[in-house]
Amino acid sequence: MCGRHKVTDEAAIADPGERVLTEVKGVEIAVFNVDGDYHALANFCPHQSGPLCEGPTQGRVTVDDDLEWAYDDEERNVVCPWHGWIFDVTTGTNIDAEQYTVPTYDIEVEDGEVFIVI
Amino acid sequence: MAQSQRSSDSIRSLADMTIVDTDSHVTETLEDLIPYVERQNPGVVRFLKNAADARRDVYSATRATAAFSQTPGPLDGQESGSDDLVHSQVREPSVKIELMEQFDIDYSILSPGLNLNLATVNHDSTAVAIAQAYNSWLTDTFLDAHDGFRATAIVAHQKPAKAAEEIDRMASEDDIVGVQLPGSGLVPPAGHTWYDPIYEAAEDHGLPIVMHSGNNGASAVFPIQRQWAETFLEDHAFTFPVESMWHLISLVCQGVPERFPDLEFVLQECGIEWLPWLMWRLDDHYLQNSQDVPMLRRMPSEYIKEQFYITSQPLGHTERNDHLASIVEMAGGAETLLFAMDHPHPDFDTPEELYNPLCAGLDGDSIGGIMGETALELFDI
Ligand code: FES
Repeated sequence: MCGRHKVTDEAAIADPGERVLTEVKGVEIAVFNVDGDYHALANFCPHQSGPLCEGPTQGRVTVDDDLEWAYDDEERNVVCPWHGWIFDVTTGTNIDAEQYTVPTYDIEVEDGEVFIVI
Repeated sequence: MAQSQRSSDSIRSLADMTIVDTDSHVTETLEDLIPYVERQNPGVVRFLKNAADARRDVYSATRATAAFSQTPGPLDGQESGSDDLVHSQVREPSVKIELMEQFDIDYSILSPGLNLNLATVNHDSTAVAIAQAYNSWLTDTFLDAHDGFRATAIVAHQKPAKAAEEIDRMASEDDIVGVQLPGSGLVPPAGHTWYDPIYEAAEDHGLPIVMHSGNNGASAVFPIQRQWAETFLEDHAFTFPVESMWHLISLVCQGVPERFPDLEFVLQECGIEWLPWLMWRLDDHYLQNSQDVPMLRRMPSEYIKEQFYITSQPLGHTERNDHLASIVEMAGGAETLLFAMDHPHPDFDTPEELYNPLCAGLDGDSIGGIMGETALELFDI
């Protein structure tokens, strides 16, 4: 099982916001391009097993020092399409409750090809 | 034969515990308060003097049918009024002291009676005047009369800045241990920024906000329910818990615990059994809708367990004691629950009513916390 597996050609996810979904050894995994960096995450939501990585990515509503509403527009969060739980793609952690996490995987890029290490 | 050993630090009897009754009513009347209003706010005293029926002409306090109509005694539209100790009017200290002795209550946190309806007073300056008068009357009449008396000072939410001034005035009284913001008929719900001056003053003085539920002001909050509740029973069963749920949801979701991190809240007389369910429900909603409440940094249940307390009376009737003990444990146990008796109202609970079922599932230290020690700390007694 251990090893390096090609996910995609880099050209397919060259632009920030793009993603590819693939299956490696029976595990569905998505690779996201967040601001030019690649992040791999299992396509599995710990809430009720929904296809987490098929949901939209977005920034997050936040508050400033006066607790007035603001928006952090870095699109690093994926929203589960089933019930809306939100995970930080770069860490695999639920943005509201850090006890809920999704497996993440290391990425390697070589000669225009993207691999995950699993 | 070897005697069986019980773990001595986990078993404690009620007699060894400090008992704090965290909801013990007085039964003030307008007659008691008018001399104070006359002195402190002469401009509005005519509104009180002209009232033929205080609940109608000063407050907007209504009932579907008479309260506790099966309970003996001349209730006369009030919750209390007969001569026996548990139902007596409490307009002077002796009745309360006798009750505390009979039931081994060490401390009673005195709550208002008629002024549980303060939020329904239409004329704002009158509401402010009544709050000031009640606090002065309470101080003069009760607070020095017994070492075990403590009380909440009431505030009129109608004028938040005046309410904050009243908190400043009353906070210097050692026996005032909380700020009563009556929940019955309180609009808008308690999380609204309208109340910020009140919360700021309470937090500055280290006083918890205490919110008593009620059914008399329900026409302001749940007008349709109030109109269609045909009896006191169904109105009472619905309004007390639901009103507190409404305020609690608003307080948490509007980020009051974040805005006032040192402020604590006590919800009185709204039942406790729904609290675990509401925490689960809020956490579930939060995880699915957190972008609605960006000021929250933690799960709603965490704020509730850290900054909210709930008083025990009236306990639901359960067939099995261990069921109640389990619910109490799920609600946060001694971190959250405070014993309350609710004298002199006819649905009062004795200390044993809570203590006995808790013994079916909680250890002695937790029970000791619930019966009084948590309240000693919370109210800085
Ligand atoms: S399964 Fe993902 S939010 Fe419910």
